[in-house]
Amino acid sequence: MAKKRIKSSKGDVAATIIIHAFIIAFAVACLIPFILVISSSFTSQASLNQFGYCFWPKEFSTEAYSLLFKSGTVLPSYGVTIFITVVGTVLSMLVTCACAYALSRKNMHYRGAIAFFIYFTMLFSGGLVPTYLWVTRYLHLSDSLWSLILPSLVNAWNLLLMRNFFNGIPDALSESASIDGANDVKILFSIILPVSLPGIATVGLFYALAYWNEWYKALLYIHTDWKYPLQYLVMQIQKNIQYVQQNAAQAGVVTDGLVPAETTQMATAVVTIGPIVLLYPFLQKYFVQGLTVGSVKG
Amino acid sequence: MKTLPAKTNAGQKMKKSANKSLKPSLLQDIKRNPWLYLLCLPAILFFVLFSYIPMAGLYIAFVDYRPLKGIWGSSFVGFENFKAFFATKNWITVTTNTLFLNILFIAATTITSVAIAIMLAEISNKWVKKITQSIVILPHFMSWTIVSMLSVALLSANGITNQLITMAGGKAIEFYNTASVWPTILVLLKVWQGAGFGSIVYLATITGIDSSIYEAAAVDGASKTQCIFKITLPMLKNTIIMLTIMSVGKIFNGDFGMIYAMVGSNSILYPTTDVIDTYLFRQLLENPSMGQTAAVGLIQSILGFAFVVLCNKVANKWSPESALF
Amino acid sequence: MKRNFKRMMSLGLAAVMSCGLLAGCRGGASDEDTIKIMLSGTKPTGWDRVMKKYEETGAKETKVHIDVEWISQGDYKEKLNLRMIGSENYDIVFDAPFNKLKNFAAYEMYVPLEDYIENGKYPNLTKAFPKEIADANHYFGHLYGLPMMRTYGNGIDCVYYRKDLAKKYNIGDGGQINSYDELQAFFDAVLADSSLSGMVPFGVSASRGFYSLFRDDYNVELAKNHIVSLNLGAMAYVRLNEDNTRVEDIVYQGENLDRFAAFPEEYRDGEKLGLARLKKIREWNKYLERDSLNRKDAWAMVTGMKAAAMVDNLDTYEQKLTDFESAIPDAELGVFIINNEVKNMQPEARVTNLQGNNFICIPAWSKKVDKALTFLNWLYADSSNHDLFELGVEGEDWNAIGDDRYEQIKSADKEAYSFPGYVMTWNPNYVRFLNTLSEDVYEYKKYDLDRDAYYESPLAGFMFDTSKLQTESTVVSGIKSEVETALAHGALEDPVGKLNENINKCLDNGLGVIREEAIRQINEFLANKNNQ
Repeated sequence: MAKKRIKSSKGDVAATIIIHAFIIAFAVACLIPFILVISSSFTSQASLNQFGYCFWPKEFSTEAYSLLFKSGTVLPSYGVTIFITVVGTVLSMLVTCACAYALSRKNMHYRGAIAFFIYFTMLFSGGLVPTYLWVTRYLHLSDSLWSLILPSLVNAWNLLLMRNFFNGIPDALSESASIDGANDVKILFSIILPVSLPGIATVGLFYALAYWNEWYKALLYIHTDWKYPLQYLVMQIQKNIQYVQQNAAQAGVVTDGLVPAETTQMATAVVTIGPIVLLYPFLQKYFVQGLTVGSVKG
Repeated sequence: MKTLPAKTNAGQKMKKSANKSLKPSLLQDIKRNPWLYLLCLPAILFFVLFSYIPMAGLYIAFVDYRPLKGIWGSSFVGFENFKAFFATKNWITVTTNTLFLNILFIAATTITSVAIAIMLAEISNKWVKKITQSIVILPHFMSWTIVSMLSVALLSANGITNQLITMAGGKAIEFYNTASVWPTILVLLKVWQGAGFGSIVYLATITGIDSSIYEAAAVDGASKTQCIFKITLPMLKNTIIMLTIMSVGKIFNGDFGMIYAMVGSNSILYPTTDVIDTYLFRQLLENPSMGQTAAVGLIQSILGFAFVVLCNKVANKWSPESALF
Repeated sequence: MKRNFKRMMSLGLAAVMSCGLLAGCRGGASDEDTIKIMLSGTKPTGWDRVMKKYEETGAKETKVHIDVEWISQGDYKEKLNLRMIGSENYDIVFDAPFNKLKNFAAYEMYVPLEDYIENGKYPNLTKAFPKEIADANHYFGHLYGLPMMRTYGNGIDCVYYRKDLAKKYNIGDGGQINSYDELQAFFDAVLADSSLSGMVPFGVSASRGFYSLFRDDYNVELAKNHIVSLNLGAMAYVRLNEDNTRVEDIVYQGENLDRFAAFPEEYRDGEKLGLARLKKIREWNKYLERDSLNRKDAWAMVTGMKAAAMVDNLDTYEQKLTDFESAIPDAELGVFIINNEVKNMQPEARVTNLQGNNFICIPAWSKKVDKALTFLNWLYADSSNHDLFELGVEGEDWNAIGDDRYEQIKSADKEAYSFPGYVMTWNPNYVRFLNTLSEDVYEYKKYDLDRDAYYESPLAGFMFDTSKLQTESTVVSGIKSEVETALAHGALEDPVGKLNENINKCLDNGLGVIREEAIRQINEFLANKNNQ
């Protein structure tokens, strides 16, 4: 992709400066709170109470993390989380892309009705109790790892977004392939998908993040200790600390020193965000540099 | 020869009217495109199983729910569950707040997300681009509980903001005792939290734009600003409109997580920050009722739905490509 | 030979298999069974040891095995709600008025236990839950759960404060604060002390505000005058007739004073019925931080040196002491017990309605009610059974010291066994205090458990059923929340006027209906009580 260097006008220089200034300012606004979070996760609760949030811990301590990792079920929960993220994302993407592609094809005359049928579910929902009873009593998914995957297998928003990405691919591509005799499934997998990498990366990321952070379904459906995903354990510790804070007398437990309530909450944020921050740069290349759709010449 | 960047509206309109007069029946269409309908089948099955069947449970809004009798066995009470919400004039305040705040949220985050995406695309230095891109999505992952803790440090009477104000010679503002400043604070927080992550979609769309268009424009002597406004933005139009219409569906659903974490039970701030969801939560705190929760939820859904159908109709007239359905 | 051998093997195999089948048969010849229990809390360290001991002792005796599922406290309410709605298979669950007990009792989702306790089939339960207590804990006419109680109150309310600072300002008796006036002097001194930058005199949390300060001052006096304060949609005062058999009227705190006209003279101005308190905390609002309405943790303010005092109760004393000593080693933690009669351990210092705050219940669809009660009967048989669950294995987790004290056995690699007693074992007959308690805290705790320390409310045992007032109570809740928290912090000008306005708005929107229903229910309750 050769970029011809043209003489930049004054307007261009000004635009570049404004753009860089705004982006850097916004990034700083995003970064500073995160630094505060990391720093307070490595602080002792006593010093946090006294000095508030600082960029560097006034009294370094890993008590929040030792509390977080004390519970022995961390290892199996990593396995559970990885399983539901990988399996879930793959299955979700298959079903989503298939349907989204079909909805983007002009020769499917009822695609509008189907899109409506799908979008409707975003607005109307039976609510917690009917869904819970249906999933546990009739679908028998109670205490199964599939209860963490199936109920959110397809996300209507993601599906319609994927359809939007497919809409951006010129019809000529699929038309010439079908003239050559390929059926729609073959077209989807061998021609369309390779050219839709930015869209796939985006929607795939959204699904993966949703599975990775899943904890509420675990609260509803999982009974056995080892089946809890990572984020559920993290949430549980956080909620327990809040509960103990508010109901100290009933807890009956006396700790040695201050309960590291806030610092542990900060540590849970770091543990949650950490893996994502580490993995995201690897996905960026799909957003930064996509494949050109130069395969069709007018 | 240049490839056309988008199908023109005129061509689209002709195709559409041609299609309208010849629209086949469902069975005919399935016969003609068996594979396409097959591709849709798993998703449709999913929604029937996990969305439409439980949706029947909305009936709970019309009964006096007793768990032992189940949803269908509980006694029918008509619109009784809807009365509590509308009993006092509060419903007007909270509905207005919900609508007002949500409109601001949608507008502000969309504009900022698009701006960020465009700016990120324009940055040429690979490292700056990668690093800032990773940084701007960070706020999305911070739970509102944590954000509210940090906000207290920022906005309290002797917090950072007030320290800066007093240093500059002004008078300290008691943020937590002043209702009028909160819509601004909430919008800023929402933008901070969501704009970076929301820019991913637009960034991906920009990436999909054929770079030869930009090259041709550069040859024709277009400046950066002109490229942004004449090429990039129109290319994003479909995505922007579609995402906006989707958000409109939730326009009567307040952001409970954010507002409850930030405002809590501080009744002084209710006049400008109380939304339908937080109001309902407080009403039902002592005496929970599944029926009442479902009833108000149903109203929110129906109103949101009406708005979406409206917006979609408008989109269908002006820019059919970007319509939702 | 081979054939014989094969025949013997297959016969033997068949015999073994049928034995296995028989053993697996429920309700068969062996009569053994397992009940499922759902409790709130984290599984205590050493729980497996306790279970093993139970298998050796209790299970052998009662033939009832137990399968306990521990659910973390933060999730308990939600999980209990869903599992009960889903009618899932549990035989004993923990529930409480602050969880779902009021709703589930009204929906009859638990087995009514009063007959089981009274008929004598489970003698230890009859002993552990005597008629007076059982009757007082009826919900809507039935005993839907066994109350897990030790004290008849809610703990001894006190103010924790910086005694070192009180000494510095020469407040009270060598820094020991003994009255509200001394407390106020302390607060004024803290305000005036310029060396304490960033420290407010009194730290409060958003949800509680001034909490128990000035709150229970007149309760016993009111009760002796046939006036009971109760939450009936809003804070209410029930005025009974001379022999406590009938309701004369119910008046709400802050209501128009003309409704108080029939009250005894000293109460007609409403001052002792909450209004004086509202004005007092408005006056004391200046001792709070400006953003008290968004503060989550008041105790953290004290340990973080942002506040000089906060209000809580004596039950949390041990934890607070450890926190305080590790956070501010050079300071001293002072305790001011706000109720003077309680401080002097006088009898009938507080009103009790004899109601527990925690219960164990049996879901209505359980098929093993008798087995569950058999287990509980064993649990409450004597202190060795009871203490196995509450304190752990004797000799390994704890050692008895005297009749009512014990020491915990813990080491660097062995955490102390800590069972949340309120979920299954709290009972006045079986109480042991940690030997590490200081003498005066020990004395106060004993006093707290003493029945004579309390004055029985004329309405002990009454529970207001709001299940038919769903719409009204929702509306009133919403209206109350407009001013409730702010008033609790003293944050509003003219608090009495604001409350009056708010209560009138409530009355126009359903509180009147609630009042009528409450009068009806209380009269019914009193009629039943006096007929027994």
